[in-house]
Amino acid sequence: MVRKVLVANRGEIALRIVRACRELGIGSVAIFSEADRESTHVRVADEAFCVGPGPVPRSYLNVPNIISAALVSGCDAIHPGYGFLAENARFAEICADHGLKFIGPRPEIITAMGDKATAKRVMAEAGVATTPGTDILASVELAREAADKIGYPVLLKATAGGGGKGMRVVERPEDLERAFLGATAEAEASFKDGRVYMEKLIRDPRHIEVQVLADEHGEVVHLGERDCSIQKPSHQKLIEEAGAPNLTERARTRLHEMAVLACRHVGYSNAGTLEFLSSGDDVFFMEMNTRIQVEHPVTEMVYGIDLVKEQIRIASGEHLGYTQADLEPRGHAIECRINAEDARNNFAPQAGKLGTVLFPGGPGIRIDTHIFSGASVPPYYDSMLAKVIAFANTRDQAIARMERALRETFVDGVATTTEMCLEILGTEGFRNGIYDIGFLPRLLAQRVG
Amino acid sequence: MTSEYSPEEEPSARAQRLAEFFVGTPLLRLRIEREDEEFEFARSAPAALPRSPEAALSPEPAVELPVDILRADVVGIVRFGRHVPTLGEEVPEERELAAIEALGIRTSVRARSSGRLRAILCQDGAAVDYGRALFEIERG
Repeated sequence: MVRKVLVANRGEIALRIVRACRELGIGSVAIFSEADRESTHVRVADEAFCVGPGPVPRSYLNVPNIISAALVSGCDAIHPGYGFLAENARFAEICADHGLKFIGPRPEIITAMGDKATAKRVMAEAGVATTPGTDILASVELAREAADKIGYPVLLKATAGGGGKGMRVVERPEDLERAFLGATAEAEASFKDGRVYMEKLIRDPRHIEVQVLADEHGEVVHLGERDCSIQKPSHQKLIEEAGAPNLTERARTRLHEMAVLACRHVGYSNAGTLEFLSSGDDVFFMEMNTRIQVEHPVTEMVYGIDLVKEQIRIASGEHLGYTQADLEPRGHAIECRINAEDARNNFAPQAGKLGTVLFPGGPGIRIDTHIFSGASVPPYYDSMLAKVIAFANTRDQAIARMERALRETFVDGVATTTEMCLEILGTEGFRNGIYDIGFLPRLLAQRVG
Repeated sequence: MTSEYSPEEEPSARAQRLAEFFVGTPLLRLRIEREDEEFEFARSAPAALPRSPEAALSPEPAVELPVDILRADVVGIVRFGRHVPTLGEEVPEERELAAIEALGIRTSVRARSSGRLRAILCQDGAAVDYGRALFEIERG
């Protein structure tokens, strides 16, 4: 087992990792920026090192200071959490160069899965269903040929893309040329890489992802699926649940099988998530996240497995010690993200000093948070303040429990997404488990209308 | 503040102006950071403040000279050189007081101005993090 872990992150996930270390009886070293000096993870970890000023590039992405902190404190492993350096293959290599175990998959797997086009190709080789699409399109003519073959509507996407930049929906052949030129120019301007490719547009899909765990000896298991279709217009998730409601057994089985197949094919190790778009019985691979996810607690609740401890055990070279047959989900779990955002103003992030903070408790409620009464919310970081997780025997009971919990949640001083989550839970669509990734944008559009 | 910050002003003139401002306040310590500048002014501990009527009437309050605080700007291990810094010694400008060793690279910690070494806040061989105060020099 590793002896001491440097936690290269902040906020609730840093605290989550420190907790796992403590329960495993291993040491933990926190890092923090000057803006996070009073943060909970700094107080709770065994040791803590300031690595730079508030802005992210100078602290939580300051690789020399982070590696140096790990070395001078005698750590033998680094847990990157999510975001920041979690999917940075170069960082994983640097860790290895300094004799530090990176708690995640091998760098070459991070690289392969980090490039969307490569990831899709590798998954297709493994027999995983991917969205019908193309490689890089060098001209409008090639794009036209491809669209005719795939069938409209199609989606043009920048290969270097993200955040919707360089992306165009093309409904009709006559719109193709303009969309192709627009996407190319926008991708060039945003990423200095104008290359675009094409995919079939899946209308009103659900975002369903599968959690996997793989040890370094070839054993792979899945821990079921999560439905993460309640997303803000920016495609950031707001509510997640395990399992996915109203998923056909055929689709569910295919998803689970494909996830395991893909991991075996690439020789994956540690925790990972395969994200799929689902529509009816059709499921298409979208991307793989080679790290722990924000929404991992809903899976932990229904499977009774501590995913972060498993990550550390796997990185220590231990065998999983169980097989798929030993894993059986029980009950239903829902997570609501409490973000410092003004849901009435396009989810504009909020910063400042918090007043009274009160979180719910009682049966079946888990709170993962780093905030407390009087804490500061710095302007430099992600606006997520807390995750409220409700667990119950049935989905209906979990919804009722979550509604009760959100009404016990008080975060004074900034606008939060608590009310927005309550509004969503109260809709007929959510209650019936019939929703897709367009659900929240449509709800918001109706409200404005 | 009685007057505005002006980027054209010489740092030494600004230090003088800020010191005068500090003298007129009841503050025990004042620290100003702006981009690449850092000023810190301090009075002695509260017990040393004038308390007797005679002292209170004194035209010169007990204000110390401007103090430079040298901080670590990398995470690493402090290494003292051949010249081990000693408390109270006069150090010339640019004198290397220690180095911080990180990932095999040595970063010098040098006096920004000449003065008296009034505090040594680190030890040879100790791990330090970003922003940790290492030395205080009373500029003279």
